[in-house]
Amino acid sequence: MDNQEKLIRKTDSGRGRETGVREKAENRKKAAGKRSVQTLRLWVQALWTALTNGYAYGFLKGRIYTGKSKTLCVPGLNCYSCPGALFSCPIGSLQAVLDSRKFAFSCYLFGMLMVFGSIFGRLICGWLCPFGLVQDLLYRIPLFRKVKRIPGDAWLRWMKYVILAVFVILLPSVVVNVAGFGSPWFCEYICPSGTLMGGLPLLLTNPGLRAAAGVLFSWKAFLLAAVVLVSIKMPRPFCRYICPLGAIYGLFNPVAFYRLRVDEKKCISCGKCRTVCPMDIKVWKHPNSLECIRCGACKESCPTGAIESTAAGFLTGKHRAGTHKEQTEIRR
Amino acid sequence: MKTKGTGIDYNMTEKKRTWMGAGCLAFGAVLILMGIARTEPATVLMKAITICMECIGIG
Repeated sequence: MDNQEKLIRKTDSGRGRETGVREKAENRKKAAGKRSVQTLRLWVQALWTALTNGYAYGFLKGRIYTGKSKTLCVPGLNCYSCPGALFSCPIGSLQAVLDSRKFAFSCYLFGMLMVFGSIFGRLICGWLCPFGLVQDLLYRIPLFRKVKRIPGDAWLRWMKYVILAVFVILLPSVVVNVAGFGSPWFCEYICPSGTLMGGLPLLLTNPGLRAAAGVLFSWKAFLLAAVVLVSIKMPRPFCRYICPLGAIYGLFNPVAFYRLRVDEKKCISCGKCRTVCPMDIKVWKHPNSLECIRCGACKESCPTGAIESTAAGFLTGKHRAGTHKEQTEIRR
Repeated sequence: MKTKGTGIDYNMTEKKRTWMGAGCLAFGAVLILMGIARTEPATVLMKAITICMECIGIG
């Protein structure tokens, strides 16, 4: 081997090392970017939960807030019997209006849900729901082998629509007592968010309520424990299979002002978006799926920058065009 | 509407989606106003300022 050849080899290996270092740095940068959006989301969720449940006195005294702000609803599932709640829960309020003798249909609540849904869609589930935050935190616990789906997943996803139709709308309107009042069936028999945010804090601080807890509370505590355990194993089980609010907002996902779009010229169908998606959606096929909670994980992980977010059809945020090299590498 | 697997989406152009969204928003706003006129917020408030025994699991 002559000196010239040695020099060429040395230079090549140097270039190789240099490229490797650059790639590693780029990967680190990408991973940091991904972490930053998910961390930001966690902070937004926590801040929103703290702001809308900021009545600290309620937690200390085992009481609830009684101000007029409770005429308004928060967009996420947030029990109005939570001692800190400053606003109302849309699903609880909907049942309250439907099970009252005065109204057979709630213009106010359906209107509010339509407004929230047509602007944000299920972005609310991903960013502004306190019970979503609880599930996201539980999934971070390094226990059990994590799974993305369970047998019958596709069928079970329809269950939330059945719960919405039967427990939130039909039963509260139809099953009434002699005085003409119904019950909030979803809150009473299903909602684990009410048990966690309302039931537990009130029972811990209010001895009178603690004494009154019986079989129904045991049932609800069992449901909450089941949701907690499953949430450690798989992402967002309550949002996928049970939440009637997610079912409503999901219907607006394809037409909401905040939407996703896949640039077919850039997309290489590598499936990375599905791998990172907590709801296990084939994003490249259905960017506005009824199940998408708009967490942004797919957008961040897309190696070619093909997934774009839009506000009423106009592009929002930074959109990175994948380089030719990146696309060739991934195709290999 | 595509209903394959877990990804369900509507087959629509971007323009149509935007118009549909705007329509829903406007209709929602009208419904809210109708609800206010029917004094529904008072019913919501009445329920929300008393501890909901059903919600917390006492019944």
